[in-house]
Amino acid sequence: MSIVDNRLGEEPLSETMLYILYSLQEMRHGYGIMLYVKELTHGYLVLGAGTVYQSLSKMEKKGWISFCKEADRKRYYIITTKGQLVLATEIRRIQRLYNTMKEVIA
Amino acid sequence: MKKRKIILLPFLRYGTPKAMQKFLEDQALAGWYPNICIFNVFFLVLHQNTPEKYQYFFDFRYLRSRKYESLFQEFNWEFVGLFSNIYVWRRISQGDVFSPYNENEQAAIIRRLSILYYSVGIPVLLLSVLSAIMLLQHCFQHNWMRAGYFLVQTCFAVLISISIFKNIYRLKHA
Repeated sequence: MSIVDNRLGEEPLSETMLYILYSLQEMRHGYGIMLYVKELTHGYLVLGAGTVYQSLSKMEKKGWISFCKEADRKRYYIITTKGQLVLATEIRRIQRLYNTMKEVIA
Repeated sequence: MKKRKIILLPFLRYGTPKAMQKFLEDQALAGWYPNICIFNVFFLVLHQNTPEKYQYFFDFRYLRSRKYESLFQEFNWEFVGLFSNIYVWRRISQGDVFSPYNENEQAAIIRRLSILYYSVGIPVLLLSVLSAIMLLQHCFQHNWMRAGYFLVQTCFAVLISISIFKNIYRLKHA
C-alpha cells in the first residue's frame, strides 16, 4: 500500500498537526492544547495562537475533529473517529520510518 | 504635558508588519499607545499612558472570524484594533519575542501581504507612467497649467510606488 493510500489521500501530517490531533483525544480548548503539547514535548514545542487556529480550522474542515462546546469564551474540540484513524495511521507510518532508519543506521 | 501625538502616513513610513510592530513596541516603552482605526492609512494617533513592555503583532486576514479572535484572546493576546483586515494584537512582553505562527505559516503570511502590496503597487505604478505620458503631452502643447497638474500627480504616484515597492523588498528580505 502506498503512503498516499495509507493516509486517506492526505500528505503526512506535520509535527504540529500530529501533536494537536493527539492532544484532542480528550476534549480541550486552544490554550489547553498548547499547554498539553508543551508538557508532552518537555517544552520543545510551544504552539502559538495562530498555528493552533490554522491547524484546528484545517482539521475541523477535514472532519478529523469536531467542536464540542463553548464555555467562558473558550471553544472545546475533540477528535472524531475519522481523526482517530488518521492519527493511528500516522503513528504507524512514523514507527515504520523509525524502524527503517534504525536498521539503516545499525 | 503632551497627551497625544500624531504620526502622518504611518503605513508608508513603517510599511512592513515587522517595522510597525517594532515602532509600536518602542512607543509603548515610552508610554505611547495607538488608536487603531480606518484612518490609520493617513495618520496614527498615539495617546500617553504608563510605559509598558509590550509585544505587538500585526496579522493580515482575508476574513473576520470570531473563532480566530477568541483563540488569540485565549492565548492572552489583547485585541488593539482592526485596520483594513489587519488585526493588531499585543501582549505583555515576557522577555522573548514569540510569534503566534510557525515558520511555514509566517512565510504564507508574507506571501499574502506581498500579493496585497502588489495589488496596490502595480496600479499606482501604472498611474505614474500614464501621468508622466500626459505630462509630456501637455508640455509639448505648451499647456503649462495642465502640465503642472500632471507633474504633481506623477510625483505623488512615483513616491507612493517607490514606497510600496521598497516595502515589498523589506517584507521579503527582512
